[in-house]
Amino acid sequence: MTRSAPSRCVDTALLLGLLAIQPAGADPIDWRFQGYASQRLTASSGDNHFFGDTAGRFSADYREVAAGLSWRPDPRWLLSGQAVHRQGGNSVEDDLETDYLFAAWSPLDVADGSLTLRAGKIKVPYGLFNEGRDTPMTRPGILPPQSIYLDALRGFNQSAYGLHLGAAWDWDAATVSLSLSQIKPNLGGTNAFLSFVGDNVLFRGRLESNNQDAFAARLAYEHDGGRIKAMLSHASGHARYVPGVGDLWSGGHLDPAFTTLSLQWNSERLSLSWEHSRNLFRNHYDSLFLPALDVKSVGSSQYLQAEWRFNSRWTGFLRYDTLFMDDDDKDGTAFAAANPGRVAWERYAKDWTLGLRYRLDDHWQLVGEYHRVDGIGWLPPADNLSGGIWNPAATDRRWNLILFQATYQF
Amino acid sequence: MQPRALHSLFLGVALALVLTFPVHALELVVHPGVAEKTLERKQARSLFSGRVNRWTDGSPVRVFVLPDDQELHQELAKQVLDIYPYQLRAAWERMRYTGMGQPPITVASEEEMRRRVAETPGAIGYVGKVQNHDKIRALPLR
Repeated sequence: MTRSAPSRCVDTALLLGLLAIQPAGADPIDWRFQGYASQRLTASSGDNHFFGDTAGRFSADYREVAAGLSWRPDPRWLLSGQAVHRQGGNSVEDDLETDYLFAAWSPLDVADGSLTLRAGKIKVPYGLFNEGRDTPMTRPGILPPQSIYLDALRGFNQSAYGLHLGAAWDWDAATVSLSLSQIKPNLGGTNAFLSFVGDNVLFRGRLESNNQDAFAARLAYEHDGGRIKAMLSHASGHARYVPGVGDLWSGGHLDPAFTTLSLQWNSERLSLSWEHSRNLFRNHYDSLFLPALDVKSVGSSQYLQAEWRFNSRWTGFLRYDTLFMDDDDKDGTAFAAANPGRVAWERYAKDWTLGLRYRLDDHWQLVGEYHRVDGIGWLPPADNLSGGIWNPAATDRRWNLILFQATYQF
Repeated sequence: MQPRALHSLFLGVALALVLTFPVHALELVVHPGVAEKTLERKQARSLFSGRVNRWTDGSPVRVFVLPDDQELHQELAKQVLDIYPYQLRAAWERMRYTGMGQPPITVASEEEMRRRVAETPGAIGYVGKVQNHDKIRALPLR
């Protein structure tokens, strides 16, 4: 669910409390403050809008400012929190939010391995990029590969309240780590609803999840200090469909599950990343006067990315990224034939991305990237509604996206 | 070829190699109060990557590093830790902006490194060579 104003106040109070409890005798070296501010310029072609009013013009709608702190009162304990203010069209519904806020306890922390428990709102470990995808400096481009790290679903799959267990074992040339997270996914907002339910005309309700309704796990192997990385990630969730006024459906539930295999190879100049995800969607709806409706599809996400470091300041990258909602109907034609008014190209996205990053120093970074996309599988519906209705037929199948981003971090 | 000529050739090649690939000394250093006398390479990697936060006696670790573009830092990453500097930087920034840990403190110069390590209990860093008047202790790799 979208965080309510009172719960945001609680988070803000906890963040301020973390700052206020700094005891007079505490060593300042155990306190860290950090933050960043970034501004995007985005332009998209046709009638497709991407986080703002971007169709046919450069828009400066998207910007973000984050500030946070961490305190290590004891080597076994770490308290961390960060707030982020984000603006970017109709897709960003919660302007000010807690990015993360948790307490971590490490009962085991030696050269051979470590064990850490975290409670609170955490960045969910998943795949190569999920934890760091929000920070402009820790990902290769402006947008992470959208087939797996959908910005339209950022609230659902990026950061969540829950419990997290992390363990790592070190050998001379390898590290194996395991992350387990029991979380409450954020299923609020138009994008999450339309991405999982697909329609806000036949379905007028909303999605709800209980505490600990989702589970995420990641097993990672890193060889030779991270020259080779291999990961297997899995996440599954459960949400209830709560009917709206005049709804055909009296209730229901959604049980999506995602499994991702990740590989990365790093050399001094070149990094190659590949990830493949199997996405299972299972939706069940009950009705008082219609037969129950079961919708099931298995889709896939996959990308290959190459990064080339020209020197310590300049990096170029090239990526091909595909998303298919249903592997049995990759071009969406069967879906379009069965659903009058809907279009085939809403069921996939094939995206070529070319980008260049310039890092001026430890604080400043400039990035530019160009996307050539076929399909709107990851186009945020909330930015493309017509009179509140999601009408994919009003979008363009083939479209371009150009983004520039300037970031300052401290 | 005469043995003398062979000897001269060997010396010439050795000299050329030394001139072509300058070898810089680097010593890991700690605050004198740190109990460890030696360090394994994987321990050094765990400490500098920020994953391990306490010494074997339970006291807190405080890590100091030089800026990425300094030669001594490049040598620490590539020769001692066997990792590329950009990987270290990426790990630190991910740690910093996800709150998962506290990355090392960057100091501006080797001189500042000596001073901060000497005055900070639990500190570890690196210098070209420990001087006699330094109040820091070398921590050799085993």
